[in-house]
Amino acid sequence: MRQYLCLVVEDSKTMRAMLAESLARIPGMEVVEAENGLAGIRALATQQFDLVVTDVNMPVMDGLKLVRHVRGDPRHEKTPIVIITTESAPNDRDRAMALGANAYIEKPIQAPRVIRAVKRLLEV
Amino acid sequence: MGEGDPPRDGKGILHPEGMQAARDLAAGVVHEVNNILGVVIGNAHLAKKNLANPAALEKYMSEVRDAAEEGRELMRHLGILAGGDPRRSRVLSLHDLVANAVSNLRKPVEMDLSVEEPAVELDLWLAQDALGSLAEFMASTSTVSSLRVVTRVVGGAVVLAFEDDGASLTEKELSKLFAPFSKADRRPKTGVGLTKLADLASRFGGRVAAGRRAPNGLRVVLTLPVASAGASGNGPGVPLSKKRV
Repeated sequence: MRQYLCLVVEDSKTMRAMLAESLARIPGMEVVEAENGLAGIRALATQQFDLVVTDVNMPVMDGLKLVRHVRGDPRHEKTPIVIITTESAPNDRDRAMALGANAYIEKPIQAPRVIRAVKRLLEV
Repeated sequence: MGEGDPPRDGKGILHPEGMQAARDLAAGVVHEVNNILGVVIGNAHLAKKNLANPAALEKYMSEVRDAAEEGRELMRHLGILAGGDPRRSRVLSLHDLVANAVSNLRKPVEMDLSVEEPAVELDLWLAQDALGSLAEFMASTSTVSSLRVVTRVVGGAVVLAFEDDGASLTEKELSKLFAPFSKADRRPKTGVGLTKLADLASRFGGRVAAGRRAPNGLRVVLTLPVASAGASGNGPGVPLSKKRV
């Protein structure tokens, strides 16, 4: 039975699959996938999510704009946001955290790290 | 087996080369874990002697934590090597895998990718980890200033080449590059990172080779069969509760 609904926003199909597969190990977790920030906003317009996991660098609309949008929307302003960053781009990470992201996970994606970060935020 | 029957592979029987590979892996793990335990034990003793000195205590405990992190990373690599399973394969975009593998590098990467978007059928986690390990191995070599990645579709196969401009390896070093914990002069430790690449090739009908790049550098070429179906991130093993926006 679904307990949590998570939005995963990531342009890479491979990374999206890795994130979705990692999150699916959390009991009760259901995942909705979006391939860029704009698709993420469309999903947010129709559903209430317990968590948003987003990449930063994406075509069409990047993750920073998505974070800004989520934090500016009263319906989602308290929704926890996890950003996916690279060690080589600390500025992106810092900007996303300053905009209101709650946690970050560095690539390469490792399932235990994803699960740990998400469980902490959801207090599972 | 009758007297005239040819010898057959038996479950649980290792060929001499398999035994040697197992010995190499075991020896490498013993060496690495002993090093880590040495750091942990040494610093734990020092920390115990300096309980009244917070600055020293913090330094020694940081050493313990770093060693433990190194151990965890080693276990993670071994776990992926042990866990790659052809039954969990899925059709993936090779170019997507490559882009992810180099996304974390701090050195420039020239991408010379085929016009075609080759799809390959692989274990997602093993594939991403193996390609990432290769990219990291090249990029963390101090003599390397840039990398080049090339893909070409040739018949029913796709050829993926990673090249760097760092120190060239000797023939002996090249021949052992994919062995666990191999060492090469002026190159970082390989651990089992490159072994995973060889494992990926062998499990999924491909092959891998290493050679020199002129005038200097390393070239690693991975050849894989092109998958017939289109690439998708959502293959077998991903729960059906997924939706796509």
